Amino acid sequence: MNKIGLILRFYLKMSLPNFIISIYLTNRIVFFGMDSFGVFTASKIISLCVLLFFIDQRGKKQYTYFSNLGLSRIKLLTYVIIIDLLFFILLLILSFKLW
Amino acid sequence: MVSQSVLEVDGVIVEFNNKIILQDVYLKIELGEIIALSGRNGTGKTTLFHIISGINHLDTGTVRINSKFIKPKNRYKYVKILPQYHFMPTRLTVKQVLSDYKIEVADLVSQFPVFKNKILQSVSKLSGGEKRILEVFIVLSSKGDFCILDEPFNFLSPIHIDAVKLYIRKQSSKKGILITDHQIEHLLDVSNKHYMIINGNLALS
Repeated sequence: MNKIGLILRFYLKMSLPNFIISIYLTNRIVFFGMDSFGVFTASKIISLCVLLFFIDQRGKKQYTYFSNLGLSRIKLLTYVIIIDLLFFILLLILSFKLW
Repeated sequence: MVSQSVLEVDGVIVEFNNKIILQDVYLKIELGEIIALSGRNGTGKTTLFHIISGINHLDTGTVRINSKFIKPKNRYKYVKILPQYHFMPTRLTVKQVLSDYKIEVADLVSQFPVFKNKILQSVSKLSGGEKRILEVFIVLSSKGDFCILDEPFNFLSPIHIDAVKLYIRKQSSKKGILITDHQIEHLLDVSNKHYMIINGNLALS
């Protein structure tokens, strides 16, 4: 439970820009139809990578805090990618259902 | 964990840009010991610390705890590291930091009364010295038989250095501690064994 809390707290640092990008891209996919899915999903992945790069550079020194608690840098970044992509897929499903 | 834990670093060789940084290093830390490590800048002290704590992976050599090889990803259960820079997320409060490391607030306040009215304060509002005290405290107080302290006296005023030295000595009764700092007089004062890194080798001083 403690580790989940730590991961979520780390994710929250970058959640706002990711949330805005996810909403925008989901809206575009719904608007242009499933033909645009590939392009906008690729945009989502690229934007996530760019954000992770900046978070990684800015937060380098804080990784020791998490690694002392059993969460290495690789683990943290992997979990963040999984959470964000799951959130994006969930948003997409909800958008299509509500449309 | 058993009460007679021993950490051994054996046959560590580190090469960087065709230059040997550490050459067949062997080091043993037992509970109750405070081992000081000194050497010039760039001699591999921090590299060795990162290897022991599992942050850096080894090509040659092993790190054993109680004669068992422990994978780097599991070493955090036994070894906690204090890096030479501030490492706490600045948006957290002192209370959140203590909670993450499963440490009681009362323990901090009884040891370092300067935190009495700062428990709900965010880390970013603490002074450099206060941050360092808190960092040293969480590393020394959290679970694990071994602590690695990389420049613990950085950012500290003389009065705080004495308080931190006292706490290091106190915790050494139940932990093995490896420590380095450029303030050599404090390093020698707090430790009971002193090694130097010279040309990639460890020499007992």
